[in-house]
Amino acid sequence: MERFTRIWNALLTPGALVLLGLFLVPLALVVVFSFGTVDILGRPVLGFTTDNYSQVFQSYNLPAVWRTVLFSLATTAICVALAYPVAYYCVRFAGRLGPVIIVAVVAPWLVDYLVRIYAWRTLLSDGGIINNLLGDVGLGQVHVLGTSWAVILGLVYGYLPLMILPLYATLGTFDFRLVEAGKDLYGTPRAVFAHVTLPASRPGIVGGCLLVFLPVLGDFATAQFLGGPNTTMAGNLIASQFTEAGAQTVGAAFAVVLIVLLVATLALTFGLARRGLAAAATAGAAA
Amino acid sequence: MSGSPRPFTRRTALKTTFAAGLGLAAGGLAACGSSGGGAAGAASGAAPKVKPVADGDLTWFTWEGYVDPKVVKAFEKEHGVKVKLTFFDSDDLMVQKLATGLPYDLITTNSAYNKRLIAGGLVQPFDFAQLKNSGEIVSYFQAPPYDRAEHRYSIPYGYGPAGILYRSDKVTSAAGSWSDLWNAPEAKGKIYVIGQVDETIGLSLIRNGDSVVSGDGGQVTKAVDELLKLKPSLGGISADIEGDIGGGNSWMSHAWTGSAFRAIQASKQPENLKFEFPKEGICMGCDTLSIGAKAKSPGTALLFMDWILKPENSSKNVTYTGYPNGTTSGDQAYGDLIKDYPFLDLGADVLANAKWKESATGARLSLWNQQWSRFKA
Repeated sequence: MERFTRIWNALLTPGALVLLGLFLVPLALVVVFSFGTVDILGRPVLGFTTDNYSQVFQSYNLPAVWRTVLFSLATTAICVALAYPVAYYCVRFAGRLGPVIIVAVVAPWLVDYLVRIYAWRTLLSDGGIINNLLGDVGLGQVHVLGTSWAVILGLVYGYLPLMILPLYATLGTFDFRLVEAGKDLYGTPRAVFAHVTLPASRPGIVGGCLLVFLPVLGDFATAQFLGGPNTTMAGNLIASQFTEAGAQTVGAAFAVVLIVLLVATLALTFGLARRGLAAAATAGAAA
Repeated sequence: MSGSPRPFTRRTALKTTFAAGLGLAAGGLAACGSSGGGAAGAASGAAPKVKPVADGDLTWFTWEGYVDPKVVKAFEKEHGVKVKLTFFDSDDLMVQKLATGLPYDLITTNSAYNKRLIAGGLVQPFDFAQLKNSGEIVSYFQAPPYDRAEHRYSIPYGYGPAGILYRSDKVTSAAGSWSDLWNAPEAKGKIYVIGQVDETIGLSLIRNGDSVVSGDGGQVTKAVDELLKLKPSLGGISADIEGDIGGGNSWMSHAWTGSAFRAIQASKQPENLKFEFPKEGICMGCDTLSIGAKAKSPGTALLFMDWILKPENSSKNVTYTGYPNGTTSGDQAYGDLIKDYPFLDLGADVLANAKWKESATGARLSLWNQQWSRFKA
């Protein structure tokens, strides 16, 4: 047994080193630069100033931050609502078609994200395909592109597979005889779902929510291409510091703040999830 | 994009977005790499030694699609060298990458960044007299505001400043002023400004009668206050001008001439697209060619500059890129290109009204940055 542990440890080392080199070191640089200044060529110069952070903690940045949190929450909620039936259907009723549906869900990922977002742009434009169709059947125009709805739509579209996959995996291991047992105990379909199926799929829901919520919090491409004047997200503010403003240190400070926000969300969710699982286990034991 | 012209295709738009992600990595390299770009450029006094003689293959750091491949091919054949193009997606990333000490021979620089590049020692001087075709350069660009040091560091390559592109079938109030953006109730929600700090704060400063490189907190705040008044009428803050106009989202766009030209060419009703240069003045930038301080083949780079200035190459290239390049033959080629759209003329009137941009550093950088966030967030 101990020998196996040693082998696994040895196998783990290269991966851990790669992570350390390519993830932690850049992360450390971001933190270091966030306290630095830039020289005349825009290169970060090491130093200690909190100016960058004071530029981040300005009231005018707040709307973008709130909007980002709101968009992320909305996207996550919509994704759960859309993904759960899909995953459930695939596992329970689709039979052999289940995996085919899952492949179909993942297939668009073979195409670059930005290309797909651009396709949405073409679809949603005021003079785009959808509006032309609506106009042809006499329904008038809908102005979507440039609104918050367009951005949330794009985010849901982009991150939905990340919700479906963990739910599919979790439900795949669920023993559906438990549902029958619930019904045998005179549980209504709604009660069986609420007390049996839903608690059992909690790990999938939590995992999916994290996989969707966290990257959406840092997303900037969707808002850039589908958004308008009032859809700027925190990611857009960070990106512009690097590509156009020439203020990498401010961008770094903003990124650090966002990362702290992400980690806090992660910690909170895991804390809640553990308590939830523990509660479920207790409830299960009591039952 | 920094306001100066270049072929902004959807492809580049997509790439620019992801370049943002790479920006930090480049920054990291900068700090780890050499601390200076070489002193060659910063040295003043000593006469530049570089001669227009082929001294190896040419590496050219530039925008994608920003040169007629035939002109490059012909150069390779004539001088028996290879030209290798590598691309950047924004002027800021160009500066960042150059600052890591990479040995590019020729660089498509930008007038707004040239002072910084010279001060940072990233480009090297050359003797204008070494260029056989330097006489081709029109008088305005013989000593332009951005390159008036003791030696020359650049030749002009392409310019096409921003004005207002509008649908004349929808917008009836255009009156040749930046205020048109504010005074077009018929286009409410269909007005777009370029999502770029220097261009957009710049136009507001010009409209207020202030300097386009203002570092005055009051002036810049006022410029952004005005932009915030415009914001409820905006449909977007974007640099995809052709997409916005072509997709019917925009009826009135703050637009570069090159984008306007391509939008008109792509339109099914080109007669409905008009462009104006506001009378208050124009936010100006010009792409330029410079020799890298660490160039391995500076001679070939200078030789290529001479090649691109040669009348037949110059006119071919301008016809390809769609931007005048400050030469007699280039102006002529551009004139032919836009003869059906006289409002895109970039002649003496426009140059006389040009307010030259300079990329911000130090206190002005953080002032503009903060004000830009106030507008965008």
